[in-house]
Amino acid sequence: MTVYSETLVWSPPAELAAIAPYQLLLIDQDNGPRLVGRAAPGERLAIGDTVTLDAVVDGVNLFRKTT
Amino acid sequence: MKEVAVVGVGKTRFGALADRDLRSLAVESVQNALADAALPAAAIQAFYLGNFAGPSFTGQSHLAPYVAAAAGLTGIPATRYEAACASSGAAFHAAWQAVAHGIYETVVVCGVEKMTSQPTARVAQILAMAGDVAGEGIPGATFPAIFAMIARRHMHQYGTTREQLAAVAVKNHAYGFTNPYAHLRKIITIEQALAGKPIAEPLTLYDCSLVSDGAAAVVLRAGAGGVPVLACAQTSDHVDLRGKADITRLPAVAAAAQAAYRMAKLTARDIDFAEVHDCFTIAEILAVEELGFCAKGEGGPWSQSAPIPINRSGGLKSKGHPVGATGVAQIADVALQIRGRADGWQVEKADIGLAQNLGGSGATSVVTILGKERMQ
Repeated sequence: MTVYSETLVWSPPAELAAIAPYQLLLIDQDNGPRLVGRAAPGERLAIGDTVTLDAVVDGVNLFRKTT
Repeated sequence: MKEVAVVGVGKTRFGALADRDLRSLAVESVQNALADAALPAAAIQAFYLGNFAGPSFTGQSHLAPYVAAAAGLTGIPATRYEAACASSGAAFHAAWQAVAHGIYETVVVCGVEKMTSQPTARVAQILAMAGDVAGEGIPGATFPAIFAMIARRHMHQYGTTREQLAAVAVKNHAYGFTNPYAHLRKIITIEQALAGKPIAEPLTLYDCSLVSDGAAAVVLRAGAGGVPVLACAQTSDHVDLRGKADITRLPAVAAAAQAAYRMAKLTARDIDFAEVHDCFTIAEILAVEELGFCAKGEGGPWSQSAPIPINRSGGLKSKGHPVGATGVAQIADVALQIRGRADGWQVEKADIGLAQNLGGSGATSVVTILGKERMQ
């Protein structure tokens, strides 16, 4: 899986104020539909980075750079 | 189909209008449009209201008859259209269809939004309802975030620069400075735009349109006279961003534009000026590409060279973006230009003008072309 696009969000909706800024991601899967998620805490990703699914928290996919 | 023309235009000022409610704004625009058309309320056979989120912003539903009756319009169909930021574009399209197909002779289309009575975080939450709430809103896809991801991808694929995005904001603020109806009449520099507070990287505060109150209305009539509507086309696409193969494209805009050009027997090269949907600076760059003013990917440099006036009103960026009012306001502004009545902000060549109204990140698209004369 690779990062298709990303943005660091500084102006969050009220529910996500506690974790801002957070990085929102669009992820291309090798086989399957594109996914939406966020970078795992402490991660900063760029377009083209290869990622793995780190966790699913409250139904939200959190991704980490593949090492 | 019958010929249809805009025979009356009415607008309110756009801004943070603390002493005005939704209905008073809408009524003012309707009454101004009727006065401009020199028609009594009794001549109006149907009322079309574009409004995105009046119930959420103000707590009032059943808005079309609520507005219409206060404007003196009763005993006729009065219906609200909701298509996110393209609500009044969609209302206009429905009204234009009804007149073009001979159902009515004379109708009013109004667009209105009252946004500034809610705190910013609530406004963001209401606007996010125009996206895929469960699939993308919950993880954090605010509208600035959606367009930020589009901007990042456009920069990645085509080499579009931060300076090119900022140049759109600088241009639209310079244009809006001369429009007395504009919300934020303030000249900004490229340095200010680049150094703006980050909202969703790479977008800063200066890349985002305004949260505004305001209304606009037009009277449409069958037959000659007024400003002829040469074409109006509406199309749709996925509401969610991940449903789109290439997020730098707005296929619905391209499809609506091609349909409108065919209907008007025109090409992109015939357009003298346009009001496009710059909800974010990147959206204006996408719009000029999809409308065919330049090749895909060249919207950044094309906007900097500005071969024709785009958003001479100031656009959503400076004129303001009372969401439900925007589509009709764009059409009203194009009609004013063609009539030579844009005092202080008149474009030089205004024979054929285009208005492009976008809902969400491209799920509703309306393209309307007005002309000084009907094409033969």
